[in-house]
Amino acid sequence: MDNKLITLSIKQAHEKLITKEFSARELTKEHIAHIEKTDGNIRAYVSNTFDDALAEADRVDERIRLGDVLSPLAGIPAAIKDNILIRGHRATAGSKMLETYIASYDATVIERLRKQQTVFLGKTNMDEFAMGSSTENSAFFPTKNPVDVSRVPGGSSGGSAAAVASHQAVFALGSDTGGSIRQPASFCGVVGMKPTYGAVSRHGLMAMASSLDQIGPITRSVEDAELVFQALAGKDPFDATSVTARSVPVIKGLRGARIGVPKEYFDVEGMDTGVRASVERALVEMEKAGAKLVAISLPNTKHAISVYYIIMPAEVSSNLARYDGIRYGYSTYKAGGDDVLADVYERSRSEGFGKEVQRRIMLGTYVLSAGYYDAYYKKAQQVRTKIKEDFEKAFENVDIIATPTTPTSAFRFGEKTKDPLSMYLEDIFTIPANLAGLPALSLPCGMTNGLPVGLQLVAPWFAEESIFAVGKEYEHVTRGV
Amino acid sequence: MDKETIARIAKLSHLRFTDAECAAFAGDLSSILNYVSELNAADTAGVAVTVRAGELVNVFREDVPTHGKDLARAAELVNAAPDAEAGYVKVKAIL
Repeated sequence: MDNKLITLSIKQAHEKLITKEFSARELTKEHIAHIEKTDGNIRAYVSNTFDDALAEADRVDERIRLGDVLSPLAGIPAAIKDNILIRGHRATAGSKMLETYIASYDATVIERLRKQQTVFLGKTNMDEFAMGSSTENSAFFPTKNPVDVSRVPGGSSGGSAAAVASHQAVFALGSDTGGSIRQPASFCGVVGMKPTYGAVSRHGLMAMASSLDQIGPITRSVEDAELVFQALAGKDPFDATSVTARSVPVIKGLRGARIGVPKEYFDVEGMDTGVRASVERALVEMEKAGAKLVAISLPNTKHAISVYYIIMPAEVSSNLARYDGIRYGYSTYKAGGDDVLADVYERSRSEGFGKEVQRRIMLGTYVLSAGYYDAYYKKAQQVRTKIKEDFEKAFENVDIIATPTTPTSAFRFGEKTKDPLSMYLEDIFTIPANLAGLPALSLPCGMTNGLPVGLQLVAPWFAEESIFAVGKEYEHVTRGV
Repeated sequence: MDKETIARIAKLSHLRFTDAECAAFAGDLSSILNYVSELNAADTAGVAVTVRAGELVNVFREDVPTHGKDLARAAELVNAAPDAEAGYVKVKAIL
């Protein structure tokens, strides 16, 4: 990369802003120019907010001129997944249903970043309503993987991961319900983090499955992920499930760390041998740095996808009932005919939602319907308890768990679109952390056949600090950063 | 999953499909339900359900408007609807 301004970490950019090596306007303009040059090919963004970005950059420059103390994220250009609301700007969630929808308020995470004077460059592409693992389910266009443009960037936060990987933003926000931050981060060779459930407010994130959704950062280093997480985290009166982080025991680095290696994550059908080899090499590196590898078992891992594909669609069917063609979004109201109210609902939803969204609404409605509730929904909630208990038990003996983020590296466009189930199996290693509510981060741990591999670190509830400490040290010993 | 079940679930979901779409959904949903039926093998006798990932705390607070009587904002919300009159969203007849 010949342009140094777009390759900086958050900390480097911050230092250079306050020492006036360049201005916030220059930093923002370089990113805009780079987006204009490269996004015709990558297509990470669905809309831009360049005017607001430059105005915010100017406000940051004014504060630098006055000698004010800057927040760590002040003047840092960022990309925001398009299911997170920025007041006055489009928020499509990758759906025809919301193609022209303008957000009427700021999400809490946006308010928090605004307080730090983060510069928002635009909104990033995603699988429709965050349902998918390749960004091919976007109603508008697919995003390409910057590492290999014949391959998907992963999903659903594929636009955010591609933007960060291709230096179109210093960092991005994504949302993760079953792996939607970590899997695309893994595919694009960047860092992606899902916080503990409740650590970050979901207010202003379009709800997909409320008991699983979390917003988190996508960055080019673990240190950057930590800085963004610190800016986002905290209790919010507008999200009743958000909490003040509890103080829990954490580890400070690899020396003496007990790292759990669950056998169930290294032996699944269809697992790429190159992915497994890269992750195993990473484990050896960590051992060399003083960590102790502990073989563990999470026996209910095999049920995670089944549990997820009952609980998630159940919550989806309820959450997406709000898109009814009445108050906002796609509507057949004016299409004519002698429609009554129920026709507007049905026609708007049938025309506005894509197939995968409809499939999940149907599945969710089915598993919640009379006669099937106990067999599916209740059973899934019980097995969810068992999955959570597996982790509780494991964390009695280990500080952190290390696994591959995904069973394979980035796949080709169209490879998994015909069979929904094959796409669902992509999330086998990421779903358990959502079901249990645990913090988890994916970071690059090498390449296989020219494609990035992700190492997933999972910590106990609210022990994000352990993940950051281990992740930063791993990056230090392997990349010298 | 038969056609009648798909039609019933579609009705409950406020969705409307062609026959070809119904057939495709029947195939997809059957294969997913077939996959998740492996859960029957899990022993859940006496296991409590997990409804949420986090803890549950009471969140009582005063019900105060955050934006006061902001008529411009109210108009913005009403105008997002496909049709409105005198500050109200207009809908089709219910029957």
